[in-house]
Amino acid sequence: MVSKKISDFKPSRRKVLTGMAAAGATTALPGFVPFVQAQSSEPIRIGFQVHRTGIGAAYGRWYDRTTMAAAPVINDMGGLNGRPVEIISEDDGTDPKRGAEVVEKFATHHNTDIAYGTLFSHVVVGSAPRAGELKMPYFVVSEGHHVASGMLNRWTLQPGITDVKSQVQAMAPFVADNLGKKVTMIFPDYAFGHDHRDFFSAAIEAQGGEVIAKLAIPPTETSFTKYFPQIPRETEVIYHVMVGPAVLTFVKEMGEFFGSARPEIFGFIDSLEAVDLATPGLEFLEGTYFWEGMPRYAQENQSEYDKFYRAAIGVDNNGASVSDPKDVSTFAHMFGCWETLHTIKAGMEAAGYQGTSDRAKLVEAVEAMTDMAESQAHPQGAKVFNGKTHQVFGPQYISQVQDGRLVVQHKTALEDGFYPDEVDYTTQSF
Amino acid sequence: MQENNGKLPVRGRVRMKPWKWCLSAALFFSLYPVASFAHVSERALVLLLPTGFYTRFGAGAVALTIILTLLVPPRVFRFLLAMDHPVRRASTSGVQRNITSFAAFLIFAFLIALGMWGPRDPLVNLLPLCVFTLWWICLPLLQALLGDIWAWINPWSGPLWLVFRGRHPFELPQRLGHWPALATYLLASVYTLTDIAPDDPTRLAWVAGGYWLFTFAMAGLFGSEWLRRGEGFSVFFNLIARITPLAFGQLKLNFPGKRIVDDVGLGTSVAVFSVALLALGSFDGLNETFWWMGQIGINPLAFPGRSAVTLPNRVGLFAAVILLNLAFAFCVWIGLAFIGRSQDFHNAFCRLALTILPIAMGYHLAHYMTSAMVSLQYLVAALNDPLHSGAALLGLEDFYVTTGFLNQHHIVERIWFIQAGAIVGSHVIAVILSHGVALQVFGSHRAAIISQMPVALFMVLYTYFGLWLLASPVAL
Repeated sequence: MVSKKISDFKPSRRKVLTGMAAAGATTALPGFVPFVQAQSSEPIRIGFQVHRTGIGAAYGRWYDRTTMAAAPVINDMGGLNGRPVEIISEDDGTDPKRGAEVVEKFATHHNTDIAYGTLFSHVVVGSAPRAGELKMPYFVVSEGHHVASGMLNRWTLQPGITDVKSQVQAMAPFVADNLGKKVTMIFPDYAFGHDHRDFFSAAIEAQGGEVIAKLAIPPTETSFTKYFPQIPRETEVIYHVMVGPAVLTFVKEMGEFFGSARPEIFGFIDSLEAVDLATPGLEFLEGTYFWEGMPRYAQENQSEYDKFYRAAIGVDNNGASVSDPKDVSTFAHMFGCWETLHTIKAGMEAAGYQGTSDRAKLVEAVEAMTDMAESQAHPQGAKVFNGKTHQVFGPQYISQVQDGRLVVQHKTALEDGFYPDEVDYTTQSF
Repeated sequence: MQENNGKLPVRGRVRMKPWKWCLSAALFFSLYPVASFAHVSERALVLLLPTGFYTRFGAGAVALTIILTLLVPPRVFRFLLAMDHPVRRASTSGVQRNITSFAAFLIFAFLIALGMWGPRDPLVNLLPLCVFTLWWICLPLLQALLGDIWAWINPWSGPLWLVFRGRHPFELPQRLGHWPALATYLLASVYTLTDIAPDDPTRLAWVAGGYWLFTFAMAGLFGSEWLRRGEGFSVFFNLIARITPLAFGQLKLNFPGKRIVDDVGLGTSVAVFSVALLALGSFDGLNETFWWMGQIGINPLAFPGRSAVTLPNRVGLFAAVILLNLAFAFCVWIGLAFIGRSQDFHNAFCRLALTILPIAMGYHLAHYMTSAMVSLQYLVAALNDPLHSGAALLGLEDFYVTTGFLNQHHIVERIWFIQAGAIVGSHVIAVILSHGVALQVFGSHRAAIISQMPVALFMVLYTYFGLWLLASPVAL
């Protein structure tokens, strides 16, 4: 835990940058030894594989901002196992081939202790094999099910954000109990949409509901009016997961189709991540529900951890930048960076990590983790880590749009997202 | 366990084309459960605008300009486009220019060093920010507005003067024309448009530094003529400077690009180069659209990365340059055929192609405007802290880059109008310039009008294409 009071915290980008120099300078002063317990004052180098360019750049900007805010907080806590943290950012261009190159640069050029921070699934899948070959612990913040599915390797872990299978599954009880049991799904016709279709269909059936129609929309579609008549009249809930530049058109046209006589509507905030809900055309979403990884808007029962987290990354109570209230963050996902870095800290301390020769010990230490209490390190909520599948499980939030804000209606139990293990990475050798 | 139960996702209704053999990697990455983060960009707001109406209106404005050229007496054009002042040609021989060029070289060398040893993040390192934001995006626009700035700040003429003092062992053969410049410019475009990490500071330092050395060596062998005919960017900047409305030495504004009307004898290579500029700018926008993704079998919502589209984009880039040149040449030729003056094709093509230059700049502004509005913020942040050491040289303690303006309907609408205005306005300018050229080449108003009909149609269609491009959904 951090002893620093929230009211004392002054978020500063400079802290992460000056932290290293300050550590070096102040350790020379008598009586001030923040990293005293470390055998070495050399920084722990974290290779940050960030989507600075390419299709992931909008997310990468906020992953970067969260990472650069978490690092000085960790340094204020005494660093990683007594050593200051140094973030070395490399742009992967949101490209799997480049991603593998970046992991290799971390190992051979920058000599980082670990690699961290990857979001987009195809980059994770393209980079993880190289991380495994280089025996580089690779902490991803991807949300993809690829880690827990068993398709990666022992060096790849996802301890800071839940996977999409768990998220979708955890929605079903609330949808069935509160919104309706006859569901029509509208999803883009490719892997992402198919995952939602398959995960949710199974989950809602387990709750006694059923998906009565599945509308697969071609990815290049930009007008949706012709699809809405295919929605069965007996539909009680529409489950939508449209993404991309045509999302606002989708919402607008759905509003024009239904008018005020609409069924209940449930969606994933991925559709509107970083989008201002006050955008013209989104009025139709008033009263509808969204999954949120972490509530964008500060709630009435906001925790002190949420407050601290927002202050550290410079985000206001509406999930927007403190410097521009229209600059909405990717709030439902970027907490994963913050929590992953704190888990790395806990793992290094548990492993007594001293250097790259202790990389396997670090992986084992994280694998041994189970409960993660809601805290400043885990402001999104309490979690359980599954060491066998290398995947963390946590709460999900279901929020309703009320007066243009997302108000949390339900926080799922951890158990809602559990599913049988599909792999045991601990049986694999290093 | 794969949860798709063997029902692996398919590409669905995205059309597959023969490119698919080179997209096997992209397909592989679509065969596993994923989260999707295809984001909502400002294009989402653009899709809500009545862009279809605006596009027809814009194309109509260009068509109206063409109709006006039929009605307005030739003397008006001759007055508007008359050369009434001495033109100060770009020169790289002045001592003052050599001094400023040498200063630019020192800055360039510092940037290369930063690329090699500075921050790794391309949005923090000053090398990629200066190269792609200041130099690649902003400088051409300044050059088009103010004239030949590049003659003062190119990083070669100063060092060349210092080392070689104007001596060089070989002459660049005249028969090569400006083709070497086209080749170097195309190679640079291949790097920026299709390399998988052109922004990477180290990679860019090697490429930019290597190109500087290559150019320095070639200019050492062939003298400053290499900068005039062999170095692609110098030729590019020199051509763009011709559309400045500023009249040097006089306190007056000229019609933009009027110098082009009197430019004779620049040759086929310069004409092809001019059309290529527009082709490259157009393809830079086209290759991000859903339409292009559909042609090469890529799902735009799950764009697999540059490495998966390197080959099709390289093919597309060269195809755009060749096809646009052929299309424009065909328009010129058929117009001449209408008036029975096919024998004037070479002269007409070489002169009319230069009138494309304002359009190329219109596309440049439209295409890069939003990215410049963001990357200039990163540039300020990097100038504030060039070594990423926590410094605040500009006094900016906590400077957050924002894209909030792209989230607001009214701002996005205004940006779109500016972009559309740049495209429509540049076409209007081009129509007037090409009519002025036609009047000079053919002498009579009637011959000019008839011969210009195919080119006029080309301009209207290209306006339509440009506005369609601005309104299209994009993957990046």
